[in-house]
Formats: sequence, C-alpha cells, structure tokens
Amino acid sequence: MSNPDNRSDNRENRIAVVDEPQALTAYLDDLLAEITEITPAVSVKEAVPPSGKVGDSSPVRATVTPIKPSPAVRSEPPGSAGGGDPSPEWARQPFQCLLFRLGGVALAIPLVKLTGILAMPKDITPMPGHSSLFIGLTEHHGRKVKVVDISAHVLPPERLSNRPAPKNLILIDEGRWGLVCDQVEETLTLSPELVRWRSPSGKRPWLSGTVIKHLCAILDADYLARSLEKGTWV
Amino acid sequence: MAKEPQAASATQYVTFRLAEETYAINVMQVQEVLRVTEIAPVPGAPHYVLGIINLRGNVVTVIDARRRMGLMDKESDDASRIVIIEVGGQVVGIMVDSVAEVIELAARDVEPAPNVGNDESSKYIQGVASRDGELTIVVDLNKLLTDDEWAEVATL
Repeated sequence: MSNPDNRSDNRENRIAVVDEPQALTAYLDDLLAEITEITPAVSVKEAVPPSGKVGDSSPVRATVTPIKPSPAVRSEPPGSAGGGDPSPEWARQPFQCLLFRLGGVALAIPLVKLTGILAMPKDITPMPGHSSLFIGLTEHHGRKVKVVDISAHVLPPERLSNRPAPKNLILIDEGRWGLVCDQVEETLTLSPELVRWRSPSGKRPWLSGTVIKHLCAILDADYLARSLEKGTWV
Repeated sequence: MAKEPQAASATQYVTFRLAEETYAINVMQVQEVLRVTEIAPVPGAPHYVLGIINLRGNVVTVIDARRRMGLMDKESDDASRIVIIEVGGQVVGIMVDSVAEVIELAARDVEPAPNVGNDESSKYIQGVASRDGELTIVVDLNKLLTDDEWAEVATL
C-alpha cells in the first residue's frame, strides 16, 4: 500500500510545484527511472559514454531518485536485466531518429521504422465502434492508413488537455498506421550509447528507450503496429 | 469481354449518410425508404431503439443508426429517412441522416474492415470502399445487432 501511494504522492507534489518545461522533464524522468530500475546492466553501460556529456544528464537523474519505488525493482523478473544488450539490431551503430512532439512531449521514432510523414489529412473517415484511439481511415497513394492517436496511452494525464491541433501524421509499418502528432521537428543522429534501452519486460512496452541528451523517448514502432493490430494496446 | 467477371461479382448498395460519413448497405435487404413519421416510443426498449411505427398496418421497430454506432445524437430533419430493411426474416427500420443513392461495388473494391483494438462493437462494419476520393463504410446488416439483440427487438 505504502509505496505505490507514496509514488503517486511524490509525483503529484512535484507536478504541483514545477512549471511547464519542468513537468515535461519530470515525465521523462519517470520513464528513465523505470528503465534504470529494470535494466541496471544498461545503467552501467550508460555510465561509460565517452563524451563528457554525462554531466548534462546528472541533474535529471538526481531528480529521479526520490520517486523511485524500491518494490518495482523486485516486481521485475530477476533475470530480465541480465539478458545482455537490450538494444535493437538497428541500433548497434549510430542511427537516425525523427523527433516529434505529442502533447508537447518530445518523442522520437527511428528512421528505419518510419514510412513517411504527412501533413494532417483533412479527410479522415471515422470508423464507429472502434477503440477510442482509432481516429479513422485516410487514403494515401491509394492505400488506407489507419490513423491513431496514442496520446492517451503515452502521455501523462495532465498533458492530455489543451493539446495543440495535430499538424502531422507519422506513417509506420509500411504506411498501415498513421500516428497523430503535434508536429515533427528534426532528425537526430544518435549513437547507441546515448540511449537508455528499455527492457522488454518493462511496464511501457511502447518505449524503446530514452535519450537523456535530447530529453526524448524513442517509440518502439514494431510494438506499436503489432499491438494496435492485435488490439492488445493498453 | 474482360468486364464480364467483374460485373458478375458486383453488388448494389444503398448509401446513406450518418454524421457526415457515407455508409452502404446491400440493396437486397432494403425494402423501402420512408420519410420520418410518428414514432411511438417503447418503454424499456434498448437505448438504440427509437420506437415503433405503423407501416401499413404492420408494427415496425425503428433503430437509431447513430446510437447503434455510438455516434452523437441528432434531431431528425427534412433529410432524415427511415430505411426499412429485412434481416433474417425480420423487418425493422433504421433511422439515418439521409439516403444518398444506389451504387455498385465489386467485391474487390471492398477492403476488409480495419482491425484496431476491441472490434466487438464494430463487427457490423464489413469493409471500406473508396469512391470518388471518399471512403464508404460498407455495413453488414446481419451483424448490426447481435443475435440476442435481434431477438429482443423482435419481441418489442
């Protein structure tokens, strides 16, 4: 009883105090905290980065410490952290990501998993009776793209109101899915060492990892497509 | 010559509008289209049942297509129509925003319904067809209600 409550109390207290940019950082802190808890082996790797940029991340990690609930460590399978390199194959060398915003939060998707970027289509045909995240269908090059808004599942609750109108659609899975976003920003070239890779057994399976330097979360496009198709997205 | 097989597999559909979108139902299941007439509410009926009408001496249950599909309610107006359909020997009316036209779609023009999330409540969507740059949602009337719901409507 005590620890989960304490965690939410801590989070609420912090959110009540911090301003807008800090709130964003706090959200990423949560993601980072989870990753740190799940994959201590990765954390060790993280400490190694050759560049002197670790200093940038230190304050972030410091703010994480108070909200880290110790039971979460125990709730993960003990073997999950020792399974070797958790990074995906495409990230064994420097790779590029598209940075975009969703509810103001910086997210990224690896270019190898990106099919395209569209301006937000005007014609989206809603499909009644489906999951609330499914906005509808739109056509692109004769193909029907399933447009989804994953924000309710990805963003912290306080980020869901007052969102800007979406400007772009990010196509993944050969264009079968279009992810609504506030707007796309830029591409980043990342070396694997800059990313904290998430363990497959973590709480947020849609998350590939986080990039402290850019305060962004990298989405797992394959998981998104697979789970959306199966309807197992929660 | 080459068109023969395609023409043979084409099906006619009646299209109607709901919340600015176009839906299509098999013309063979449509008996007639009525202007909105007086609908007598039925106490205790499911929320998607608007009530009953007297169709030439026969009592016909009218289903609100918007409610059935989870769309926002809308007051009926001059364009509103009650489409009388027949499903499994049962005759019911469905209230729609307007009736548009009869179209012909080849089976290959209808793509399977998208699979997203829990589709239990959208089984009635048979597929989607692209026409004139717009998407038309093809409805399988047999699955508009579940078997239990059809039975319930039959006993109103």
